[in-house]
Amino acid sequence: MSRFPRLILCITLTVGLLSSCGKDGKEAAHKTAKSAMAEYPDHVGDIAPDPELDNPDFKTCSKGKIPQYYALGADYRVANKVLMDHFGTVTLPDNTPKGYYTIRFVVNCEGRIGRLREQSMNTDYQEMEFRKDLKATIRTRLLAFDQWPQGRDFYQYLTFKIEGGKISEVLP
Amino acid sequence: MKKLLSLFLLLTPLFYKAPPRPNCEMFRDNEPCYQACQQSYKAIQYPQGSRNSQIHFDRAIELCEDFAYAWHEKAVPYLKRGDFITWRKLMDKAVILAPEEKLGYRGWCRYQFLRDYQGAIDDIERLEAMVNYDIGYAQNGDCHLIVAKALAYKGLGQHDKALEVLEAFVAGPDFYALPYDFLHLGVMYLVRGDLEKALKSLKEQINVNPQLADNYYYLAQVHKQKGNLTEARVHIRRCIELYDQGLYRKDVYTTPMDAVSRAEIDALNRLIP
Repeated sequence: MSRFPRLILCITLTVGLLSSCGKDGKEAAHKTAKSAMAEYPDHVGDIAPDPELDNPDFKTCSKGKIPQYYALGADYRVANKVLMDHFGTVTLPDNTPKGYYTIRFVVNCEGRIGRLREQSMNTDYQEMEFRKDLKATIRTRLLAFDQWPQGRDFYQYLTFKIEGGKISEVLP
Repeated sequence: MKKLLSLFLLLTPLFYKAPPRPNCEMFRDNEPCYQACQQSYKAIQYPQGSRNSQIHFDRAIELCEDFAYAWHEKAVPYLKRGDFITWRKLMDKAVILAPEEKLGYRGWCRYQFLRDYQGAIDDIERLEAMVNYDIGYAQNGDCHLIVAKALAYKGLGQHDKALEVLEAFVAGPDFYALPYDFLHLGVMYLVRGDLEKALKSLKEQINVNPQLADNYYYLAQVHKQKGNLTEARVHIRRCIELYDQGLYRKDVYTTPMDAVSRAEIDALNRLIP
């Protein structure tokens, strides 16, 4: 997940720089629009299936656009208390740095999840890496969670706020 | 009428307001920025975060790199979809360009989406120091930014400071109660064990919003701690009744501070014979 947005930002900043150097604004805009058409997904945050990363058994129920969790109303949100009960007992090494570990994924109409993509950042919102075993532990725990709302495919993300050697919050 | 009011208050989070649209006529003497403004209007005709919308915001930024509105709006879908690194980079640009306009929003988002309590406090206090007018409200209309600041102090575990900020705000001459202010105040007193003040605030909350399950949960807690089990039972039953009608604290994006889950309600119910 993190590679793609960086690319978009890079394009944006580069174009801004070009136009401020006195290039013909309209021409530059047209050029950028064409390249952006190729680079942007249909919607920010879309996750294309990747056979090298994804479980081949995971299928969405519908073929059309997958909505974001928040577009489906509050009933499609899992309460933080439920998430904290599930993830709060994850044991992390004492020296785990502070930061946020986010996993974005698709929940299908049967309440199963797939297409997991991740992003890690420190408390200054800069990219960082947590230990692989830590991330694997959280991902395994996520795959075992079985209380997702059913009935629709939708995009969801979970952000784990990590501080003091533990998961202190599960967001959103 | 009260039912309608409650319904409105509970649905408030569904009506997130976008930042005010700029008046393009203000840029009439600056053609690139005028065109950028027009591009941003084209952008918001498409679904937020869609390719076409993002491309029009890119065009706006190309034409007028100082156009804060485009940076802000381009950032929003990244926030809502969990790409906080990209959101922050874009939003920071908007804040640099228009700090008085954007700091409060960024601070609120840091609180709401990331529970970045210190970051939220820093942004809100920076805004307070910068302007001599009311700093305004949270993006979703839930509370004043001063209340958000108090809740952020609470999140940091600085309960005395949190209460000091909230008490001063509520006692202020310009205070106007929003749907959850007295709920938050009551819970702060409850956490400190000041049951009489907690009771007073939670009763005040009923005057503002009489159909909020969460409030009755905390009232039941207070009465249970005071040993008034009959009262506690009445309140937890009312809480369950309202919860079953969907009249509880909810938000489509995040779980709000002091919201209670059905699991917590059931657990308390079991403890009240």
